[in-house]
Amino acid sequence: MKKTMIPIKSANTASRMVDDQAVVLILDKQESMVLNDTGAFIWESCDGKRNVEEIASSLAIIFEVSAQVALSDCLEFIDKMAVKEALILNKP
Amino acid sequence: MKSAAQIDRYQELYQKTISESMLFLAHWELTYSCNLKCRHCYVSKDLGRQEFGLDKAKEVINQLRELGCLYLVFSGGEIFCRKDFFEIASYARDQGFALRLMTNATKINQANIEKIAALLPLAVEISVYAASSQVHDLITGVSGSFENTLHAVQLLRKKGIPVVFKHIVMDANKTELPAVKLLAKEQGAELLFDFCLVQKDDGSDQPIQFRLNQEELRMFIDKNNLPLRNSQHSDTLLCSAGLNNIFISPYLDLHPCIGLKLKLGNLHEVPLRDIWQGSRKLDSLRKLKDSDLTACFNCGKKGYCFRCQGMAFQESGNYLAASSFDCEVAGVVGGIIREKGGS
Repeated sequence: MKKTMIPIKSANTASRMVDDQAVVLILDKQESMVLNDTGAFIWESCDGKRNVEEIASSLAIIFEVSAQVALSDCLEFIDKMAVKEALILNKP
Repeated sequence: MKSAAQIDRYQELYQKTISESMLFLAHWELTYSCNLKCRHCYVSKDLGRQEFGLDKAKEVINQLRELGCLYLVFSGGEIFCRKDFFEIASYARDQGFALRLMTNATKINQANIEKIAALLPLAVEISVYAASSQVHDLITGVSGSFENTLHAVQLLRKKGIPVVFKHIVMDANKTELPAVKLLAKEQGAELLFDFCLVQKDDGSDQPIQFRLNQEELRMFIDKNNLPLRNSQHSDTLLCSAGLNNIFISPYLDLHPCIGLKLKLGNLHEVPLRDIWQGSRKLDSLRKLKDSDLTACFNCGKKGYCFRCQGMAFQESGNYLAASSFDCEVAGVVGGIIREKGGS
């Protein structure tokens, strides 16, 4: 996955923040997930406007980690959620 | 940094919504209008009051979202009797809600099945009183309703939409459960059933006359090998009404749940957040302990009692009291346990 891709939540999901966690339901698969604070932050950032690199930059600042770690974490998370069809990746 | 990978802690999070009174689920009766005339229906329209309009519906949905509510259950009356049902439901989906639809399904057809599928409901829960039109239509009071309902089930299943049969047991259909189970299996539907009929909203006892009597209840529970313990009440006799969920009527009256018609306020007059966070009645409910249930706490039947606060409230106006109906059911269950040599 390229870091210039722009992730957006699939219409096939329903989600809510509960404190710093997020509940994500993949409706057609009847699957539920609870994301921890970093996962929830990335998930909420997937608004179809920001690309992966921009989300990772924000993550690095908020969670006070290196840009490299943040980007690696973002790529891994977004890739997993895309495989589950919870996120759609748009080209820039 | 912790990994951002998913963590499977749904139950833990759900418990947190209860313990911290976070609104997670709302059950909303969209209308009292219905195209059937079910003999046991509890609805009694207040002709002096108007049901909400589309703009107000959107406002309430926004308020629910702002409080963090995720699940919305739409019921009626009959939800498809509202001309703006799809506008309301689509708006709720756009706001990130997961929907469950409760319906008699008779208005589901080729013309609207795509719109229903587009809502991606977690389930469509459908009232099925029997496995034949003879008994089902007798209960609904409308000839052809069984046929229409079954046709709808097939349309929904073809679209891969999960279907749940809701089977209310009463005198006219007390022997139908095995056939309904089979029908549900054939159609790929889940089955839920209940034998609890409640008073009409205006206090009339009319629906209660259709309840099973004690002997019928004993035969029903015994013949159908029903569970004799209430797993929900394994630790407590209390329920989650008003803890992480709420009920909204078509007049926008707010109650802790559909069974517990304790009026908390009205959304035409007070914003949801003010009621959810400021209601003394909700505060009292949330602070309840089992020991507050003076009539039930030391009861010998509590291990197999399906106690409902709403039922107690309906019977006596006091949700801390014992419900005579629940006591009766617990007595029957206790008798069966003793007959089988349990304790």
